[in-house]
Amino acid sequence: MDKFVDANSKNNKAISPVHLVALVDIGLFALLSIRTGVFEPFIMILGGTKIVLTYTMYLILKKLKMGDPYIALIVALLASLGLTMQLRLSTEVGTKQFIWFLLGMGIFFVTTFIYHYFHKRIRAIWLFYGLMLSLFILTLIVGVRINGAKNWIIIGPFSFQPSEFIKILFVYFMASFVSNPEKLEVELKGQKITSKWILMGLVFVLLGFFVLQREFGTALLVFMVYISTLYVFEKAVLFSVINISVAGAAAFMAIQVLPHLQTRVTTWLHPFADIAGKGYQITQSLFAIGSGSFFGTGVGLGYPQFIPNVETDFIFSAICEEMGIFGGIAVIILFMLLVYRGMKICLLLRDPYTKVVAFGLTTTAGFQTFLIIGGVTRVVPLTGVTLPFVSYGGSSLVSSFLILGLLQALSGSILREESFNDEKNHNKQ
Amino acid sequence: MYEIIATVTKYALTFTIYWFIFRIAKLIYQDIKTMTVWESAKVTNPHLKLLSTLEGNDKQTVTEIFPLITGTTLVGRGIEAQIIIADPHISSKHLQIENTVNGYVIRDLASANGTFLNGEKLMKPLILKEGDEISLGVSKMIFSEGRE
Amino acid sequence: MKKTTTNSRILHVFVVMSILFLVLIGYMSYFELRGKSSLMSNSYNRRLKAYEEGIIRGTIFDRDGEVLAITKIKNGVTTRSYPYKRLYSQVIGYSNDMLGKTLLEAQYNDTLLGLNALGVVGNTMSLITGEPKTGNNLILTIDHDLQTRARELIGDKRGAIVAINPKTGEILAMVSTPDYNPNESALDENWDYLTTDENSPLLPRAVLGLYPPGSTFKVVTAVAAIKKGLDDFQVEDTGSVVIDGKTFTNAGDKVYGTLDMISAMTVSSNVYFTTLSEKLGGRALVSTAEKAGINKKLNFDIPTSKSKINTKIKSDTELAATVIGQGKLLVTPLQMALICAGIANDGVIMKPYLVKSVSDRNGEILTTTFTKKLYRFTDAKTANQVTDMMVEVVKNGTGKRAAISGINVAGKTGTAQNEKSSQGGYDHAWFIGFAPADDPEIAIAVLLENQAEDGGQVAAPIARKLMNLWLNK
Repeated sequence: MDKFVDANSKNNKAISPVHLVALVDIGLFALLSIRTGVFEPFIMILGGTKIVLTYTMYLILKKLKMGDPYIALIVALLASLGLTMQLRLSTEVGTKQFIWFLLGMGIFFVTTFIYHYFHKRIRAIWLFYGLMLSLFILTLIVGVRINGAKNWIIIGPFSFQPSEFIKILFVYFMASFVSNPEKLEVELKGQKITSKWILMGLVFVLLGFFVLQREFGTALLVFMVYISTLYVFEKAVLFSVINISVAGAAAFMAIQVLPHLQTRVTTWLHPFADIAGKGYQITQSLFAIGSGSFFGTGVGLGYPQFIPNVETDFIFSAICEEMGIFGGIAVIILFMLLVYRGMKICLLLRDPYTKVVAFGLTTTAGFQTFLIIGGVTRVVPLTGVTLPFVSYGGSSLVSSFLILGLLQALSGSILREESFNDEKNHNKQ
Repeated sequence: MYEIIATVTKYALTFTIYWFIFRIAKLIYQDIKTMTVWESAKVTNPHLKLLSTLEGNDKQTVTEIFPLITGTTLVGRGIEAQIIIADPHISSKHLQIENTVNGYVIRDLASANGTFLNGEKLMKPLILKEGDEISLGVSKMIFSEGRE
Repeated sequence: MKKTTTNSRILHVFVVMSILFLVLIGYMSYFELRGKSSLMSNSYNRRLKAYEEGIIRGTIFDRDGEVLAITKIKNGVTTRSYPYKRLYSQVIGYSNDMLGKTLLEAQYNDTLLGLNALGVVGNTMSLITGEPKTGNNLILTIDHDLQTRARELIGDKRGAIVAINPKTGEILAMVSTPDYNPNESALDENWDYLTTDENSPLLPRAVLGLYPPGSTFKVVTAVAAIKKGLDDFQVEDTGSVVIDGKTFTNAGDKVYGTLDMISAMTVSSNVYFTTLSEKLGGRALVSTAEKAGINKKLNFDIPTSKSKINTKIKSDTELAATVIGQGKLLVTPLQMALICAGIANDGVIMKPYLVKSVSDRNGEILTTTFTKKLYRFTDAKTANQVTDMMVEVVKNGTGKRAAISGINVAGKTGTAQNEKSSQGGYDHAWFIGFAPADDPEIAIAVLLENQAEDGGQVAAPIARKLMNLWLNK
């Protein structure tokens, strides 16, 4: 109980993590700039920009007391790994990724500054549901099928995936429900149907849409977030069980009926059976991971380009090949730290609405990471989700930074004890 | 040539990344000790919140929570105190907080640099109320009755 | 309180997620340490080829430094060249971009590319010096002169010859026919024919071909019988004997009269040995055969077939057939060479090997294979007894055409019935032998498929010429 507190904390003497991120950036970008044998100043410029941005972000967060500066640093490091691998694979793709990264950072800052406005004012559950549905319907109507999944919308030169944003809206949808479940109650023929069942119906409709668009990965992800939220915030365990059973039964039937699902499962269990066809992607991924040994082949010395879709779904395999198993494990640990920070934010929040938001966003990021890494390493069947911050893709990057921004904002609110005041006001009413 | 550089760099990079992870993990661990669920138990009872006085840190960052459990709590630099603060500007026995029937009473123990309550120098023993800010040396503490 | 339980449930979810991540980490570690080894050499792993492209494959030499396989670079095009064309196709195999790798080129791929521990230093050095990476070289135990002569002698017959040093296990020559030209252009041109022809030209018969050994197996029977104390067994050979309803006769229906073991071996009397089988029993025979390596997997520089003997010989007729090398008994020519070498080497079969040592691009020897005992086939006394019998075979018996003047040659002929014989085809001709009998330097097994003449006529002379060549080196 008697604690010896040193006013000159030890923290000041150790190297701040932001410098370490900068160090990694220098190393990676410098290496990349000489990879082709000819010095490419452009890459150094990109690297320099990133380092400047990283420091800027860190200092702004710290000086303006905007909450936990470390989740942003973790993301900065993950983004670095992603950016360098993309640049290594193709300068064109890497540059595009960098632009999206800049956009993402912008969104991140905007979100952290203006979040509270939305959190306080807009908690309408039907609004969220409506938005999600409209996005789905929009996709069905004008959507374009790419890579077997009809989940892209193309506007001019830009293409984006609405599902990346639907999953965020879903978190707010659930938050609205938990804080005000009564808003979902409906009277039908004089009988009141409890909100829980309405919720379940709505959610399954959503899942149905995902399946319709062949977004099995996102459907699974949203379902996992749904069940986790129910488990934590709803007292009724039976309800969760019923949900799981229904979903399980539906999934089982779906596998019997839908050949795509069957393929995914068979390829997962026996990838070498059709090594030239359906199993090609995952086996190439395994070859890549295996070639890397523990420290990797070294950036630029491996052959990640042999894997199809390596910039998006399989970027993790590329990292494992060139940066080794240790590199891959580092990525996993970084995400674990991210999830931990997110959970901590969630624990500290008292307002149920924001609590669910923090929880939902964290679990979304966490489960998504697990699904994709598990998929490319063959621990679980391959699903079409991306690795946040690392995979190439505008929608993926923007939605990931959006999640980061929202979590950051919530973390900042803790620091300013705003939520504490909120509750105080709430209690006084 | 590039091969050699890349081969050497891969070890350096892996090392640096793990160093980063280690630093973050350590900071997380230290962070746990300041604002955690487990501490919430301490917070339900009357306690003193010691604020961080480091430059650049948010003024309201709580670095330590001291529950006021014993009837009399001695605060100072010396080892006889229940709450020891290593601040060279405070006396070894600087101030005392007593749990009386009227509430928690704060009394300055003829400290060299004085005790300040909400900015004003403490001349005689006073009853503490929720949110009172106690300054001693360069350290600041906040008194709290605790909450459910 | 609701708030606390909610928070604790949040922690539950966090724990579950942590466990999921730890599972990922665990699996990746496992994969790297164990799981991946089986799949990395899959031909769809394009990295294998990519790695190769940057490396100059090592050279393969015979024991005296003759170049048998070498990589040549001309105008940026890399070609694997086999100067002696078909001569080593059934030993070295080939390394071909499209068609893959076989035999030694496959088994020693890592060494030839310098990809294993032996290659690390050299390749790291070349990173610094800027020289192209090269793999390491193989120096074989094969003697080029012996190999060339053996190939000449087998001519256009189908079969195999294996010559081995009984004291060390070094393979001095290994020929399998039909063979083929493993050089790239020839291989590509003839591929369709090579893969579909019924004579299986791609099959290295010396190690993979399975044949009934015929009378050459009688040496194993003799070992088993002596072990059982039947050395003095005598039989009145009337030209035929009936075992359990089946009649066994001698070759050419000859009648030999009173025979002991040594004289029976000399003339290769079937009557003697089949009669002996009743006394010997299946178990003793099988046990001795297995001591020689039959039914056992052999770890060799190239894949081999397992020689087989039926462990549960139930009928007397099957036993009788087996003791004279027929029945459900199948052996590889390599196996017979090993048996022969075992008798030559006082009952100890040494581990056979093809690769004598590995050297780097500068000729420095990196590793050498040590000689090792493989099987204790029988004791020295029995081995010597059987040696004496085999000397008689060559001096006065069926193996006269293997005799070399001035030294004692030990040997045994064989003429094996096979599935074709019953259809009017010819038997396989065998000969196994070693010389000099008292201090053997070479042991040979010769197999010729479906020959009109018997082993003594057509296989023995080949053995003689080869042994002569070796002994005069």
